[in-house]
Amino acid sequence: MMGHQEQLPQILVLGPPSVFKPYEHQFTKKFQILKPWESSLPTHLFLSTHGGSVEAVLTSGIFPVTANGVLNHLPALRLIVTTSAGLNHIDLPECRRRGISVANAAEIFSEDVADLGVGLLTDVMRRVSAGDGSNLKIDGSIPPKSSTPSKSSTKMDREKLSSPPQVLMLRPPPVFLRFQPQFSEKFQFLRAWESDLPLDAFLSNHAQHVQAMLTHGGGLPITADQVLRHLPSLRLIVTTSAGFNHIDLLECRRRGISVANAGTIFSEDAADMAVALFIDVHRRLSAADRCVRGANWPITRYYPLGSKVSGKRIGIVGLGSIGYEVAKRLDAFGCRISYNSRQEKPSVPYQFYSNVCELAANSDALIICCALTDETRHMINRKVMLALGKDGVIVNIARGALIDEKEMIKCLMNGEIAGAGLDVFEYEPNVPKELREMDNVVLTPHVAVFTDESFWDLFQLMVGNLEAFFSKKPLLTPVLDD
Amino acid sequence: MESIGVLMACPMNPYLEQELDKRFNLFRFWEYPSKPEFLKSHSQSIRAVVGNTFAGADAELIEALPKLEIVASFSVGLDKIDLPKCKEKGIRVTNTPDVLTEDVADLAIGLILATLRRICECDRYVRKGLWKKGDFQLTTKFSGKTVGIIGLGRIGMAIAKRAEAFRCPISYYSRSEKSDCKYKYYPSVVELASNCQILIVACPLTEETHHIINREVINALGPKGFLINIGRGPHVDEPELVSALIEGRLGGAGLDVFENEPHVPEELFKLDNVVLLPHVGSATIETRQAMADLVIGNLEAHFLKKPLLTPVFSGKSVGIVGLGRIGSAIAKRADAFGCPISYHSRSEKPNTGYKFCPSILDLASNCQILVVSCALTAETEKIIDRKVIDALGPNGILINIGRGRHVDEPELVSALLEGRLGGAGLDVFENEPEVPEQLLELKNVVLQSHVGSDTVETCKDMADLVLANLEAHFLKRPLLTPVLGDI
Repeated sequence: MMGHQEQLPQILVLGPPSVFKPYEHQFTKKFQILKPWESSLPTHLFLSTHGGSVEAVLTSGIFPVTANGVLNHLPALRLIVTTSAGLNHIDLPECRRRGISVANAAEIFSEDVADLGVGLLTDVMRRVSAGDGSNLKIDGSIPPKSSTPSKSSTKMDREKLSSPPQVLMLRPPPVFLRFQPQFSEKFQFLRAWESDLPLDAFLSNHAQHVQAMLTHGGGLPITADQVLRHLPSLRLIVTTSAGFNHIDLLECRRRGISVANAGTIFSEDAADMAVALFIDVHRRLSAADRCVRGANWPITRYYPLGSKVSGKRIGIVGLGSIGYEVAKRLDAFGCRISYNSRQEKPSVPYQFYSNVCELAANSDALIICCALTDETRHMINRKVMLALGKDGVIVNIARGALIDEKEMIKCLMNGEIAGAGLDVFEYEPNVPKELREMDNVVLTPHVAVFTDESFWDLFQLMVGNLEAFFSKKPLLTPVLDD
Repeated sequence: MESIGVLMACPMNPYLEQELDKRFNLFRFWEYPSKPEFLKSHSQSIRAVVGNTFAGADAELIEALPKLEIVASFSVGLDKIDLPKCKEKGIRVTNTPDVLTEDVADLAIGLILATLRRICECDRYVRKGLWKKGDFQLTTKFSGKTVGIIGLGRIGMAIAKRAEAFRCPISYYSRSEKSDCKYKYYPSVVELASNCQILIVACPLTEETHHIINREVINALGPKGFLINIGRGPHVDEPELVSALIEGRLGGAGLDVFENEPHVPEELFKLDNVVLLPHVGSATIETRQAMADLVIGNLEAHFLKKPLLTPVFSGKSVGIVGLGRIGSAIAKRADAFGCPISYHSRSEKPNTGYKFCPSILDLASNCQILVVSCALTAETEKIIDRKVIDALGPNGILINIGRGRHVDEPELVSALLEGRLGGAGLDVFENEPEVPEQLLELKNVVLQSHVGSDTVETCKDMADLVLANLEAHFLKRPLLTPVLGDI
């Protein structure tokens, strides 16, 4: 948490160990971290300058923890924790002399390492990686037909024996970063961003046999020219977003590539976000919180009042899964719901308007929940905003480009609309300075689905789609299924 | 009404101020550097006080305003008004229920979302340009979380209705379980806190609910739990809350109120898992206007002698003639019905909590139901005469459980026939067993045949007492209930 970093215990990290980066967030919650690798100083100088009061060190299994290299620079050191089982990199007698305790990874790796040992043995003997499955005669004392590992070796999952399926990623989706170890257990990832090669060269050199790709909404656009023509074996694109405007679907259909997205798993969180922004703009929550934190409690009777939320007329642009969840929630606030969609939905009890201008003219607030396509780009333009009127509020949790952003800023500045709650912008992460200085807008950094719960659900769904594909079962959330 | 003095306790709303100024002689309390000076000069002309959640009418102010008739609060909460003192002095109190219910419920949901999804923090992140450096962290989902509500009144129910649309299972705590309620009831706040993820305070502030959120409750809510307070600051043990948030024993808090507004503990400013609002529960243009209209409406109704729009003491006012054992027992029961009690007796009785009227005319003019429960003496014969009946009026009710001769019966009968008295409940008559025939036809009277103490249990107790007194006398022992002799 901010601000009480000073009260958290301090640890110095050496290496860093590979377990540190994926869980850095969790570490930072509990400890104040010193990271020598981020400093321009050589490590021993960093340690002498900053390590005077360090009592605990977290190190990898490779970093040498010697008297001269480390211990002499850390006079207050009481504990070394190594992420390895092995201790050869630590000068144990020196630690004993100085009264420094040492802890290692003990037996938590034993199974994995044993599995790997057996795996290596089996691979070599059965030529698994070589791929032709023929047998290897070891020596005369062993029957020539096939060499099977002895029964006393560790029983293993067949999956771990054969190499996991390959999945290409151009950039790491946030959900991948969050669950990297878990993803890596199941799939072998080809990470284009880690290579120095330009993308087309990387793909030509390394991705010719790749059948599946994992992408995300904020990543590179998947077009024929930039991407698809370099991937002759590609049969599946899985995107971690609900939206798929970044994928050339026509091209995918032509090439027989299936596409899966995040389906409706985000719908509740996205709807919650829309309602949150809607309430915040009307009731000025963020503005008031700013006031209070500035030690500026408004004692004056002229503090601007908010606007009542209950009973407002809401116009939902796009009544898909997310739009429908928004409607359900605001219904409970006594709001009157209408919507605009490509087609009228007779099963819902809300008023339909065939064009978005008419919807705006009959609403106090517009909530944008539709997909971005060529037709819907800049659909919320000046005409719509003027129809909404000077008391009107826009909430956008869909895509920035659905709104003519420049025009919206003008309308806000001229009082032609009253306020806006925006989670998305035309050129993320750039948010125009004018917006950042306004008091009647609430701005969030595309976090409509950024919850622990949604990410976990998303992780499971992505794995589910990939596994379905590789076991030739139907995709869980297909957009295009060939 | 421009001469009627109305004291506004603090600045609260420009529209209200303006409207009060138009109609009454408005005094703005905050404009006087010396309150004691002001009170000395003006206390005789002030007949009404308009207060709110910050400043109301405490005992000191009430005592300083001898002409005070009504306190109209620009709020629904009444914790800043000394209600017992008002009752004692027969001062009427009004508030602004219902018109702000939706706004406060909307704010509760807004606070939950802002706290769990860290909206304010996100907004700060974007404004500072931090998004360019990296994505914001993951936050906590609201939909589907268990919601616990303390106090299932109008506001609590409105919150529950909204939270249900987010698929949240709802549970609650209140003084007693509500029948016909589909939400799960917990008999204690700690149990509620142990079984929900988001705990919302939505009950009135009273002596019982002071610090209802204490260390035990906070610990029960736990490091993944969230507290939302849209009640009153003193509902929460604030220092305990602050340390729990800093130590991570509580997941987060959304607060619209604080123990000592406008003071907010500075330790909270640095935390990113709290949202802090300056008591804006009902702060919308629409609602403040409706609240102001209610305040004005109530004041006008009072001074034009019409029924109040939103009185706090919703029971009818009861006036008791004779506050002896029976009178006190009647008062205690009527009080439990929320009736403001006043009384007349030969002299004022100390510490009753009821308003004393030195004259019976005064009493009759200021109550809706007049109950005769004094002893019959030469002074109290026909104490209920034409003047008193007229003072009680066409909406007034006379209840006689004293003696028939307390009342000028022919006057009573003609008042009832002519509609000058609203109705009567009579257990006793001047010439029992004779009952004036005209009364038998009236639908607005109830006639009993002197049955005040006619229950099986009481008759037996009375008989036992009579026998015991007789025995005591003849056995030369002290009498049990002497009236004369042996005292």
